[in-house]
Amino acid sequence: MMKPNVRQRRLLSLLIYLLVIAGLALLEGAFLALVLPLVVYLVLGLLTSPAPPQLTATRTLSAERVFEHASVSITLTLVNEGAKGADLAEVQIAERLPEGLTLVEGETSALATLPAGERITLSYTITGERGDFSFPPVAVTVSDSFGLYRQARQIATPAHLVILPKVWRLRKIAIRPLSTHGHAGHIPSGRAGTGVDFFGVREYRMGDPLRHINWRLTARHDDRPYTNEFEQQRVTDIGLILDARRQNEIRTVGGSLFEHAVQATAALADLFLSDGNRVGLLIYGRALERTFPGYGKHQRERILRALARAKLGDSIVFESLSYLPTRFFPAQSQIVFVSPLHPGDQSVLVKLRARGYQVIVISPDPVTFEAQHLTPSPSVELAQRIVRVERDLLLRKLRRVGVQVVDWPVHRSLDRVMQASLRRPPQVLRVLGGAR
Amino acid sequence: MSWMRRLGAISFALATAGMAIGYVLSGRSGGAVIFVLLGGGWWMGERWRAVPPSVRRWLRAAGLVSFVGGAVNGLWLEVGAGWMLLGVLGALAAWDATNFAARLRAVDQVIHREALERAHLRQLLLAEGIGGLFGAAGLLIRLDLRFSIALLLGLLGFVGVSRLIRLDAFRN
Repeated sequence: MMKPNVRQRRLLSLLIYLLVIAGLALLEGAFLALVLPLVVYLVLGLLTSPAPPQLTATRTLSAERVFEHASVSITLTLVNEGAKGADLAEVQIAERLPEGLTLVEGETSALATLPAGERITLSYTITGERGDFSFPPVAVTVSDSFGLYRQARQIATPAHLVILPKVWRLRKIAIRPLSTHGHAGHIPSGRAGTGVDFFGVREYRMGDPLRHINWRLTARHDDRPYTNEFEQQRVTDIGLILDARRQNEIRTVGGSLFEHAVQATAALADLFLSDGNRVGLLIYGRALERTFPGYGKHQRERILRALARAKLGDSIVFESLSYLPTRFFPAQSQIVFVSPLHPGDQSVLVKLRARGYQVIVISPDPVTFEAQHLTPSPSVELAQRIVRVERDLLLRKLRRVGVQVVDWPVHRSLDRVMQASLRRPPQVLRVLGGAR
Repeated sequence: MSWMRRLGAISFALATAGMAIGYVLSGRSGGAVIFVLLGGGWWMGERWRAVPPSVRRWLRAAGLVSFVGGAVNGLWLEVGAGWMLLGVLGALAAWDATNFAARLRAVDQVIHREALERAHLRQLLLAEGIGGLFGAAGLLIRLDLRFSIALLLGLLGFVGVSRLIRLDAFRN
């Protein structure tokens, strides 16, 4: 499309040419007299057109890291650094917001006159969905007062905004990986030691605290005292896998299933890290996007930032879970796979179990999610029933090989669904070994 | 009402009145009616918010072309040249004022609006003044040139205007 200033100049020039040709052809001087105002207009525009401008722009953000739907105030300042006299008759600033950000308040484009040494400021407030946003350069156009001779500039003002996914608070869940670390934590390690839960009874040894002596058992055996043992609670390695394969995504008017999966992953990372565990993240879809395992608040931030950047991918290589790099997760650790699940995933999850990983699958239910936004009809109902049977069968097969499955209808609270599905078994079952 | 809006209204009135009076005085009332309708239509199109910007852009171009074309036609039909010059000056001012208003509308915010409008108004009045003066001089002063010289001047004019149009392409 032709630029407006070029269009204006072309129109004027066309009229000038036509009048000159007509004047010459008809030898009519009055035609040429009509040309003069148009020529003067064009020449005056040229004479007052600005020299190449010396502009600097700065963009300041009230925060560079926020959670979803929080507001961020942005101030954009443009300064005319030109020497005295290098005034700019018309300056147009246009700020392009990165896709995914929404303007809440203020203005993102302006027209002003900018004398040398002065500045103009644009202030606006934005909000947005989860994401990692880099602001593009500011588009500045300077021109003469008639807007005939324009010069466009893209002024780079690097600014970065990370919008982290919402983090829900989850109550503790029972996980039982086969190996734990040496540090105290909340995961039962299957070994006797310092802890809270009763583990067993053994003969009293020198140094055992007297308050742990099992007096009832000691009374039945005259020769030696017995002491209670408790189960050690340790921290463990937890690997979170977020399924970002586009084939598993469902997008309806109610939102995206993937966004629910991202929020669930964020909440799980927060839960496991706050219990002192070492947590790593793998986003499987576009590529293998890894956040190496770590502890504490810094790791939480790293994982949330990785989740902020998470995007769906339709790589042919990662269509199936075959390329899941199991070496990324320490042997016998806990793996939490967040995925709506695909029928082909079953074999890979079974292999993980066979290699000694404890596997929990948090599966946002795609059937309920999609059905909620479909107009009820007999055919929809039939289709829903068929897909539901297929999914139930898949989940049952996974449960049969020891995978803990949380079937999560996303309209319900994840915390409640997880508590119902992964509740720690009663003490008596744990003592009898039913927990594993 | 801002200065530019006042100037816009005055320009439309000036362009329409100039052409209409010129045509009426030469006994061509039909032409006058056409220009009253053209001027009124152009002004209404600019004022009416329902008209999309792309249509307005074409309306502005069509308005200027029709007034300049009308002035050429008037000179050919021996309508008063002064009135025709007045019509062209008015149409040029109206075209400029509407273009300026479109630039203001295209942005969310206008900073230092008064200073911006004042500077624009000053330059427009200067262009109109000089253009009017030169145009009037062109109508009053008669020079007898040979056709070859007139052709040479015409060619020089072509080259000059072409350079003016393409100038910022070289700058950028």
